[in-house]
Amino acid sequence: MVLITLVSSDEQNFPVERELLKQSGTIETLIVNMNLDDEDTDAAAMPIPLPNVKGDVLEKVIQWMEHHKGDPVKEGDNEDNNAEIVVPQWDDDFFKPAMYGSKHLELTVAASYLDIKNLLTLSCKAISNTFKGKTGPQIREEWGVPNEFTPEEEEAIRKENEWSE
Amino acid sequence: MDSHRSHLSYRSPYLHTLLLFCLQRPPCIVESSIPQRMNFFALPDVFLRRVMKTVSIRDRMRLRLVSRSFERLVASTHAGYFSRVEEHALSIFTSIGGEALRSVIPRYELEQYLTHWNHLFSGITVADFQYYLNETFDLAALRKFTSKFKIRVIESTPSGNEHLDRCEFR
Repeated sequence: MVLITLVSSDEQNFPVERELLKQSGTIETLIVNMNLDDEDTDAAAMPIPLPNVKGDVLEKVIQWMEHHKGDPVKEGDNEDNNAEIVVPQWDDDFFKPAMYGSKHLELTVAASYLDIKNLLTLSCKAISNTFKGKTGPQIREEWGVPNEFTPEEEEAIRKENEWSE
Repeated sequence: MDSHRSHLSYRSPYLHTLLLFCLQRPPCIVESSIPQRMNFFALPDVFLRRVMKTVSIRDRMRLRLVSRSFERLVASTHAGYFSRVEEHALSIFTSIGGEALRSVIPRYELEQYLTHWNHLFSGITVADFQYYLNETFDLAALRKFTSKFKIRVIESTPSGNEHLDRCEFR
């Protein structure tokens, strides 16, 4: 089993199975450009620095990639069908502890930087799921958003929504 | 014995300072144990747009009630890609991405409804759009309704085909 070492911004080393890294477009490009797949190259001696990802976040990303090992990797920028994106239970449990916290934000940004399309899509969908079926006041409370509307403004929007509720 | 005493006298001021420092802090709060709450709008714009492409139309409506920032976000972001939109005598029933929106709109409120509808996204991509024109919801209303739509295939009733010749969709 070929291991490739990733180095986080805080200098932590993470030896990762080569196969897992196919999910990251950014790392895959680096591996190809650095010829790390060549038999003559000593991959272990050439760590890949990731200066934009902290150790604790990288650890979470690797955990996610390990679970999704072998999943088909999305290619291109084809849009996902809004109505068909479903967050599987495992991923829901994975995102939940960090949801509403800055760690989820860091994970989402890391998924984008590392070009892990499935993780980015699921991470964004997990955020949008926090709105699902909730009322304005419920979302306000969960996300800590102050109510800026006057009762009249709120009533006007509520009335508009009634057309289609 | 002497060395033990001197060790204590060396540590004592340090412990005293540490205790004072701890006392000055709010009780029972260990910062590292509390996840910092994410400010939703701290997400870079590109992610906000991406998140909003996964929000259903009905949830978009509710998000307008959260705050002005959310109201603006809903109006300025694309709703994403939907495989199918059907309009059955649109003033009564809209099905979008499998989500049914029942809209009962008095004729005199049609303009207001269309304005409201166009505040729900900056654009939407639909693979298959099916519509049925009726007297209340005529071609002019349909044009306004679909002004932000990017439609790949349009299906219409025979009477709709007649109007379609004079209608340009983006």
